[in-house]
Amino acid sequence: MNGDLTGKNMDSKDVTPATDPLKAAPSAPAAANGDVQAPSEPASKDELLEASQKLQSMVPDDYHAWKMQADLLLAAIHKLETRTIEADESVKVMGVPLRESALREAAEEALRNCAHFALTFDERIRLVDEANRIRRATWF
Amino acid sequence: METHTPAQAHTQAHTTSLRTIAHSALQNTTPARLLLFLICIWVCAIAFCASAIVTVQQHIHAAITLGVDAAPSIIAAHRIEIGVQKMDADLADELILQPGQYEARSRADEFERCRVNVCRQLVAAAKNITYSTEQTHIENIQIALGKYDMQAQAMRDMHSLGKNNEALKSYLTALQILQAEIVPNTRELNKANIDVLEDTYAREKSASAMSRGLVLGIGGFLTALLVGTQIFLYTRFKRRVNVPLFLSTICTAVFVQHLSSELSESSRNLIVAKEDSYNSVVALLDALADSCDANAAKSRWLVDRQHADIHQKHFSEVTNRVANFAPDYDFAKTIALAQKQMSEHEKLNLPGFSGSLANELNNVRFGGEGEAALEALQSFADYLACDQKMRAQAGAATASKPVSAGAAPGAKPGSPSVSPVSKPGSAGVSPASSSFATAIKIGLGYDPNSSNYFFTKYEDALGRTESINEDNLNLAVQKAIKELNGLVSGSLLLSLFIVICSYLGLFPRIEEYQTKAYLHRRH
Repeated sequence: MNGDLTGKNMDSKDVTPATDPLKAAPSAPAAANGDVQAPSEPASKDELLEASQKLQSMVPDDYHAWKMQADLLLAAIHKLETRTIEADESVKVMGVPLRESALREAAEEALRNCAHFALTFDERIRLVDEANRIRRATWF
Repeated sequence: METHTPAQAHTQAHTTSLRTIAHSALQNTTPARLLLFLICIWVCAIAFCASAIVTVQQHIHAAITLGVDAAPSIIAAHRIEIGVQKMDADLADELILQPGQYEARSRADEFERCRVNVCRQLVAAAKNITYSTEQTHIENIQIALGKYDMQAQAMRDMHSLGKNNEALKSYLTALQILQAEIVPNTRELNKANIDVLEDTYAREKSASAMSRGLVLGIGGFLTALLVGTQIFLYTRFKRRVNVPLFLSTICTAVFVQHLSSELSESSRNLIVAKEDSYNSVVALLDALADSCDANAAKSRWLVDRQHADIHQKHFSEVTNRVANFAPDYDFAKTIALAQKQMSEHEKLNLPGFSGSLANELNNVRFGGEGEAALEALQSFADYLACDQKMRAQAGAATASKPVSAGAAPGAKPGSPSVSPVSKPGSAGVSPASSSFATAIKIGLGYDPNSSNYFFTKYEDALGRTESINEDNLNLAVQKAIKELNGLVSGSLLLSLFIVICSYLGLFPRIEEYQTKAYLHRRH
């Protein structure tokens, strides 16, 4: 089952970094600096949507699943920031409109959920810090 | 094998996380920094509260020492001394006057009024015993006053029986009690309170600025810490305003400013109470006590001719303590200068003039005070001039032959009827001579040419000046204490508010790093 992200019966626990469909996405820490770094492999809008469809089909319930969601959303934010792709309300990534503020909210939530499954406390701190860095600024 | 319920496991996990945060407090991690901020704010709030309370209590203690503990005792002790000096003058006057005469009876009534007043002041002083030695002095005064009263009554009895020598002997015994027991004890009572007051005031004065600076420093640091925490939260959490921290920052800044201004105002009022009012009250009471002593010495000079030189010397000494002039200066020049300075609204500066009246005139601060003090100085000058006239008349009598005892020839109705006390020739002078009778009339009368007229005017002006200062003293002390009211509870409430607000503001942010957050949005 490993690596099979299209199967409806896929257990999210089976998803490992080795089978990560987001090879092109930037790493979360890098993206979270507010200035999302360029992905190691450029990913197009279609590739993002394809990866989004694959991830949407599984129930995220562990570190890696949330990490992949977060990475995908961070990659989308990066592309919007660098104007590689244009914002489009009709297009949805992980059920979220392709708009920076919405993507930031979703990425923040994904990173916090990811932090929940962090194996070490230091890793959790790092992920929550990233969630806070990527979130859009609010008054309260 | 050890088993855990889910609740226990959760608690254990939570405790472990907190412990990990605590262990990493010195690491540059966000939760450790938040915890550090929280602890620093709490410590700072507690330090601010403690320093504010100590400073406010110091100010309250100084104000209470000045206005409640010491000053009333000092005033009471002065009034005891003034009262007994007046009793002495009345007693001496009674000895000069014919027993049963209106003048003698009025002196006896005045004596009784003063005695009652002294007793009241003794009770006032006793009710305000604060320092260890006060009670002993009050007891000594009370005991001596009883002995004095007995001697006074003995003098009256002898005088009414016509036994003037025995009467004089009793009077001198009463005088001895007054000078050796009552007056020294009133002065010791004064000193005990003055020493504490001066010491407390000097300490408060030097500590005030330092403690106020410390409170402001801690308060400023606390405000800066709260602002710093806000900035940290904004940069790390992208949250512009943390409402609890914002509220506590505003409250701290406002309270620190309020505390600073109230402490400053309280210190200013304490200065008004001590420097402007209390110093004047003491100077005026000293002046009145010495003047009453001088007035009694004047009467003694008339009645006890055998020791006239001693009484005259004593009169000069005490009047010099009230008003003394350097060569080339006198009453007229000083009064003219004071009037000129007052008309030009200048602060009074009277060179070549010293004594308790000079102390008062150089410390005029309140409306009407200068005019009343100047009136007192003018009346005192008139009183001394009248005294000179009286002594000149008596001096003329010294040169004349003794005449028979009795009322002074040509004495007007209402003028003192003279009773000779000394045996003719005992002091080398017969006081019943015409000139001596005139001297007695000047010395004991209340008409506008007699010394008691000017003395009464002087006493009245001093009383008004003292009343202005005493009212301002009480007002300044009340204001100093009133301004500090609520600052202790305010400091406590503010610290508690800061502790709660900082917890409410930072705990949700610290909690973000706990494991409870799964699938819950955090805003």
